[in-house]
Amino acid sequence: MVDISDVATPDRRGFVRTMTASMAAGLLGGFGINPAIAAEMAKETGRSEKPLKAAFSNAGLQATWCAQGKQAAEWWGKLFNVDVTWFDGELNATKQRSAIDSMASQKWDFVAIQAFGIGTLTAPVKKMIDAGVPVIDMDTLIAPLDSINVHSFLAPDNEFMGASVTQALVDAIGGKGVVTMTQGALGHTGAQGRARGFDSVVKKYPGIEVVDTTPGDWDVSKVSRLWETLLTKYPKIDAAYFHNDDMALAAYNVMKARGRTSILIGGCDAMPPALTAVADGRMHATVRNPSCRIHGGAILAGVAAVVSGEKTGDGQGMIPKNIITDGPVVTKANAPGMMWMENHYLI
Amino acid sequence: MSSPPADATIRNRTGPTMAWLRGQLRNIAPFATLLALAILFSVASPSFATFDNLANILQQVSVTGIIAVGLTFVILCAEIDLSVASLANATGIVLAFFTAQDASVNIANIPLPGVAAVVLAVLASLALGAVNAFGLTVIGIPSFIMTLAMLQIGAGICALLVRGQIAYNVPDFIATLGNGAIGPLPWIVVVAAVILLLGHVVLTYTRFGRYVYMVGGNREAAEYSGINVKLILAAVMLVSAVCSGIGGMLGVAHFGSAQQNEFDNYLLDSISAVVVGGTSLFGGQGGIGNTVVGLLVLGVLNNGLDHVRIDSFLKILIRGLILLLALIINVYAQRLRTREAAAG
Repeated sequence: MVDISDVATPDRRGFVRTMTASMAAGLLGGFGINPAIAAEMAKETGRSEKPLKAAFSNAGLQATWCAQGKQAAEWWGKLFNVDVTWFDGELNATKQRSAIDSMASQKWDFVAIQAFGIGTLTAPVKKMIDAGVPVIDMDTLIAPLDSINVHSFLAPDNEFMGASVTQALVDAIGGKGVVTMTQGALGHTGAQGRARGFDSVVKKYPGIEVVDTTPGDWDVSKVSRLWETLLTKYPKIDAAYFHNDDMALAAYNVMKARGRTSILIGGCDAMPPALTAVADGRMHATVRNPSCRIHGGAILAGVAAVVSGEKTGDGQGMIPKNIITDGPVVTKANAPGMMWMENHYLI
Repeated sequence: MSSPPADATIRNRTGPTMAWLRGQLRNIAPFATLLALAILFSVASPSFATFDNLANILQQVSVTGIIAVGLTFVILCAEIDLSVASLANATGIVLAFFTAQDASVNIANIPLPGVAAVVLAVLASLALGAVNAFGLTVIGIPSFIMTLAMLQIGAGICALLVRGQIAYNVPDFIATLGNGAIGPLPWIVVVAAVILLLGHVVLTYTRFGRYVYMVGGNREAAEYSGINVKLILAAVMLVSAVCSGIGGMLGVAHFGSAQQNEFDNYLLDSISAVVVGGTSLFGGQGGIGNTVVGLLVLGVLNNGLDHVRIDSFLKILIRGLILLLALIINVYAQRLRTREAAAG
């Protein structure tokens, strides 16, 4: 662990200076600058000379959103001299619990976790927090924030994401028509928030008829089966909102096979395949769930906690307990720019 | 395959020690694998070989261990139970359903006193096990198909009761067993050890245990010996369901929540623990001792891979390859044994 007494006093501006110099040092190192000079620069700016050890875990690397987050964390980790060790949640609550149990038996400077199952990781996470390790919660609650003392919770506003894409769809169909919502797993707080956002928009339009809200459980094969039924059952569907892009693209394949590509599709996450689909018109819109911003932000929050001693709170020089990391709605107009930012792990 | 006389020649040439080693390959190989893994991870990571981590490993294999006890009985009878994880999940959810939940939990549950909730959960697991037993022994549905259907039924019960929501509370007694500790020793490890020991005693020292081996070893011979084979098969399905139920209740307490699909990985884990340990998938050979070794192999493997710096994507492959190796040894040992028996 880094001895905080050896580093600069906590101060937001100081931290930003530190980070900027650190990034420069890292980049210069990459360009062949003498490591001794880089170390001297690091010392000047209060950055730890030895690499920090961080443990990360997200829901499961099978999910493209999580895999992208891993790349982002590792990329930002290199910039800030953080050695990132990954504990894969394998999209399974009990497997992730075992991984976090193992994580908790080792020593880390800071830890960042996206829980697959809410409430399943509480015990080992509390153990790490009690040992003084800053734990950053990413995207999904590990446990209700008042029951666990995480350093900070970085997450998007799922309700906003659901509402903004639904609004884009409703605008495109002129405020009336037949609409569906294919949900994620009902127990997932993200899916619940996106559903609330969808409902908040459609209830304002009496001309909108919502004919189906069956959960697809994030499962693309299940969504394909579901949409084969929906297309048979409803000869007219004007717009379809999906709780993630993977499900939206799976349904598009079914629509294409049935010659029903006039249905406007809205997704969520704005992962690269969906950005391509938006750019070429297969999807009408998606909204960015900023994987890179969340995972990269966790690196920044962890480094600030360890190097600058940044504490949790609402005051000056502190990190808020809950940080909303929203991304924008993506349509044909801004899809290429979004792709560039994702390629550089900026959002 | 070589002929029996050739095998006999080989056996004479290599001596009785080698013959004994060949006979014990099924038991020795998993133990050697466990030892090799423990040494490998101890050398590779200083955080692996610690008392804290040993407790960690034991805790991590406890739920699998409880479920695997029942599964060992089933596999020893040359049958299979694919519903163990689903029954564990369903029982855990039944327990949470009959426990008072916080107002934020949006489930139409029926809160009852803790003892009643536990009794109902155990009865639920017994009832589901009884359906398995009925299908297998009375209707004559192969266990693979019958328990596959039960896997779906269990998942359906889970979905119906929690409707996508998550329940957090279980009775205090179960919460203590799942999450509490006596000094440094977690209660869940103690419970798993007691159930494993009980399973071992029943299989080794009781008439029922001997019947299980006989039914699995040679079903026709068992029938001709006057054993009520159907009764034994029904009994092992019930034992399996109750063990799954206990594992599910403690698992829900240990993980701190009851939700759909929570125990999905325990099906493969528990079958792997039994088979990797050396219990024959063809029945009649093995036992709880083998299951314990299999559990530890899996526990050390899963835990150890988290202690060494290795590509996350590679871990799953390595785990699969080691399990494949153990299975090959299992089948090879079975073949050697058959050959030895044929050679007289």
